[in-house]
Amino acid sequence: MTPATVKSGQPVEFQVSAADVNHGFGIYDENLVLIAQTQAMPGYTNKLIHTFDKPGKFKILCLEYCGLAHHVMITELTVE
Amino acid sequence: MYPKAKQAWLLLAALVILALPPMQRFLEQSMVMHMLVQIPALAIIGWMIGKILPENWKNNIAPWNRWGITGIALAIIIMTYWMLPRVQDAAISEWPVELTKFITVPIMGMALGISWPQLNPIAQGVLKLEFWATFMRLGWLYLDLPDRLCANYLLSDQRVFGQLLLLAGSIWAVAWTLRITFGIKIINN
Amino acid sequence: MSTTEVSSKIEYSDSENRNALIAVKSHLIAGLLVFLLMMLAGLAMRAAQGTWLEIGADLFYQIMTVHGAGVVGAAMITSTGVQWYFLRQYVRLSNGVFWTNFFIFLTGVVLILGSIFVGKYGGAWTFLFPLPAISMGAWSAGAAAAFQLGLLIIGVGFLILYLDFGRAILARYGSLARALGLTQLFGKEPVNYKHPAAVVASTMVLIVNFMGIAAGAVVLVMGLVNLFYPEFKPDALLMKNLIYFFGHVVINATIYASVIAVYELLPRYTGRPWKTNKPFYAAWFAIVFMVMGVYPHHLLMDFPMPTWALITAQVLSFGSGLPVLVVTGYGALMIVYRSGITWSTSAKLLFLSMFGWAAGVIPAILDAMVTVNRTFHNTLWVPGHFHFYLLLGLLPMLIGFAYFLAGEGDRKERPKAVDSLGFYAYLIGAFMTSMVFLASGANSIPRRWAVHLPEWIGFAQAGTIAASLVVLGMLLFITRALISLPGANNPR
Ligand code: HEM
Ligand SMILES: [Cu+2]
Repeated sequence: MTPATVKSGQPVEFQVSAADVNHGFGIYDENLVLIAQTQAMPGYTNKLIHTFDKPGKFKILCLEYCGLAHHVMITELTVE
Repeated sequence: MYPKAKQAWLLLAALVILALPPMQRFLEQSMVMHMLVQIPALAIIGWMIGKILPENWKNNIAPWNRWGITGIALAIIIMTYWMLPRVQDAAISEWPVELTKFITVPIMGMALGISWPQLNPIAQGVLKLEFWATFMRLGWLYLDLPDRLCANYLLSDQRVFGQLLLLAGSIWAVAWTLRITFGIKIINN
Repeated sequence: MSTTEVSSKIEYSDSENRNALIAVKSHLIAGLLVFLLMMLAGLAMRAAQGTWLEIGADLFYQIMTVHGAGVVGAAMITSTGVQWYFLRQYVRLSNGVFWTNFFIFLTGVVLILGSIFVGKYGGAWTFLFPLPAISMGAWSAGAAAAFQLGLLIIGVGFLILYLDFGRAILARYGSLARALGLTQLFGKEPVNYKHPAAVVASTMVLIVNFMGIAAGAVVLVMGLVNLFYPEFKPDALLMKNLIYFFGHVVINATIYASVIAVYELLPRYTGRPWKTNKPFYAAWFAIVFMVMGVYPHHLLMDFPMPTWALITAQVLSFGSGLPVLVVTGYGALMIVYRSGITWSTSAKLLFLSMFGWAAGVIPAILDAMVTVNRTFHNTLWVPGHFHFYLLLGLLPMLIGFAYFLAGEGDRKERPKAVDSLGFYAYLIGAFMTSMVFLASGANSIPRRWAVHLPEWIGFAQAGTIAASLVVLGMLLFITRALISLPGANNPR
């Protein structure tokens, strides 16, 4: 995911797609609360617009079953 | 007897007309014509021939065609064979294959015509759904496949054919639904 | 076909009836045993998520796949047993076709089990395209194909059965519209209070499942083509639509098939007939479309979906289930109220099923709202909703019917202590299992995660305890069923 850092207080557009199989794109805050999500689907680009109201370290978790590595698909997102 | 004989001549004449080289070229120039006009026409001719076959011929076939199973199986095998794009291609460029088509497709129609009424109504239902699903599957395939399936036809032709199959399948589905839901028995006891 | 036709029952020969009873029992025993095994699988999954049981991710996802496919199959075969048992009393059904479907089903099950445990297929029962084809080496195309072929075969079996239903219903009522009671609803015929509820329900199930199977026949084969001919890449969103239509319709229809047990059995226990009427017909008519139209609520987070489809789905989801639920729940209350009913285990279970179904609909409605869906979609909220109405709505109908078939009602006996223990263990366990799922979902815990983050493990452990209670209850139910079902006579 590029860039891995976004700014708070202004809308951020995530362009979510998938190269292989369906995935899910769930944004979790520091308390592991799911705040927004969309599907990641091969052949489609889903636009998810979200405004972070506070900075912090967020997590992106996969929310669509995508195979044996589904539960290790976690990445970080820094909001400044 | 007289009208039957006359019908037989008419059917034979139709077959010959379809086989005339200019007619052949005309019907085979596009995939849509080939698959949706020529082949169905051949099958229908076969179906009609089956209807006017002399009774004693039919009686001779009957023991081999209990409940219509053999006939349907034969028809399905022939149908599946002619659904292969490679074979369609070959029919256009090689005359023995074309000849085979002109013989087997009417036989398929005949087998279907004779056997369908004898088939168990539940088997009829399963086959109908299967035929419908085949329309939809093939239509979808022809629309989505990146490459040409037939060397003799254009990709655009293939796409149109796919759309027509989907359209036909959809109309069929709607008609069928309406019929079952509102009246008219389709499956008799 | 006079308009005053009374619903006379169909006569069969004694040997036909004996054979039919054996067939229904086979469906029930097979189905309930599969349920028990799948509950053990569910328990194992919960324990693994709660770190009390160590299994690899590959095995976890295989278990998840077999659990999903297994319970859906069991729900279909058991509810079909219930439905067939009652429907054959009103229209002439064929024993041969019923058995045929049963054996085709078993063949499909063997293929599916082989694909999962021999072929290591772990692509979930929803076989969401293109996952079956892209497993990163976890399973072969052959394994994925065996799974989808198994489903396809099972679909053909049910198609055959529904064609027999359709044939028999058309033979007696002339059209499906008439069987559904539409001619009465729209005033073309006077209302006949004796028009059998079993026929109305069966007609609805027949219609939607026929459509579901048709969609399945297309999408499964397209998936198979892709497995062996990867250049063919069907549109992922279209595939998803068809798969969810198929899956949602098929699992949803099981409860509408099973509810026939409520219509048929509560009147026996209370001595009051179940009267069909216009609201009843209207509800069942509406549900035909609702069951088919709600599936896009699985796709609310797919932004390219056309808005109208999502809005329709949302509106339908709010009301989905409600019409039939309301007429059934109200009818059940009216029939039971001050009737001096004996609270046999069967009666208790059937009554519980109404509550479980009603309560299970609420979380589903919530989740179908886009705003809620944004944070609940694909969390454990979703399994929470369907475990609720399946464990507390569907299964009580099926088990209640099993008790009836085992002759409980004829002996007029009060429930034994084991039955009561089973009932309450099951009730509390099932309620807790579902609530823990819902709570987990509300806490953003994703579904289908083999390994849970440390913060989530407490939920999974609570879920494990709840699951063991369900298993205990089910074990007691099944032991009873296995002991008394095989020898039981046809209940009067
Ligand atoms: C003791 C009883 C049961 C327990 C403990 C249990 C547990 C579970 C668990 C842990 C999952 C996976 C959740 C996740 O996504 O992480 C699951 C999925 C599922 N369960 Fe159950 N379950 C039980 C009974 C049932 C019954 C009776 C049915 C249906 C009648 C059912 C239908 C399903 C379905 C359809 C899924 C979805 C599978 C998938 O995501 O692919 N379960 N269950
Ligand atoms: Cu994933």
